[in-house]
Amino acid sequence: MTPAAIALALKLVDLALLGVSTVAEAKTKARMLAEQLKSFQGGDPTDDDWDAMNMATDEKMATLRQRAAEARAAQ
Amino acid sequence: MRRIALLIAVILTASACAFSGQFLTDEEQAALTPQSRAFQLQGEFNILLDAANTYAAQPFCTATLITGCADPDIVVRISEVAEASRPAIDAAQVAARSGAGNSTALSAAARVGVAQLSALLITEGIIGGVQ
Repeated sequence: MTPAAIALALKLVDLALLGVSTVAEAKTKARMLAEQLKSFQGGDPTDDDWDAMNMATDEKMATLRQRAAEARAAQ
Repeated sequence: MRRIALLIAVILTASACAFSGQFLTDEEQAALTPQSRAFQLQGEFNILLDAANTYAAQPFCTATLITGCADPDIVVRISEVAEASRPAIDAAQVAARSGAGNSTALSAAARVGVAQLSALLITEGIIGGVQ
């Protein structure tokens, strides 16, 4: 096995491990989201629900945007 | 090849039911109001952003750091896809909350954006497929 092949194999294992952990985390969050949807009991989310959702999206987008700016600098 | 994989992933993700839907019965999913469906969509977008941020938070890969690291090119691409998807998600929310007649069409457009982000994360191995 060449060094390049070993490096590729390590990378694939690394990504597989990350994928497994993120999918487990995503499923937990998806379950929580489903529970929240059930709690609406056929009604609509409240303004507070939407505010919390929008704040969470804004924060996550800001984090990703910041990291992308750092990534551009690292390219 | 990667473009084909991405296209297949987009089609599969877009056509599959929402991944939070696996924890809802068909009846519960069908009973969601348009506003709740927009809420579900944005919640799923947030879950994908969490996965993206988990990946992006790693140190950047270098010639000597090849595992436990984030490829800067991929981080930039994920950010671009997320930024491109956000307006459709916001538009779906506004339409659903105002009871606009085109909320279903806007939700469908937003779902494509979420599917594209999901497909990119799956294609890059960052998330193992959440269907």
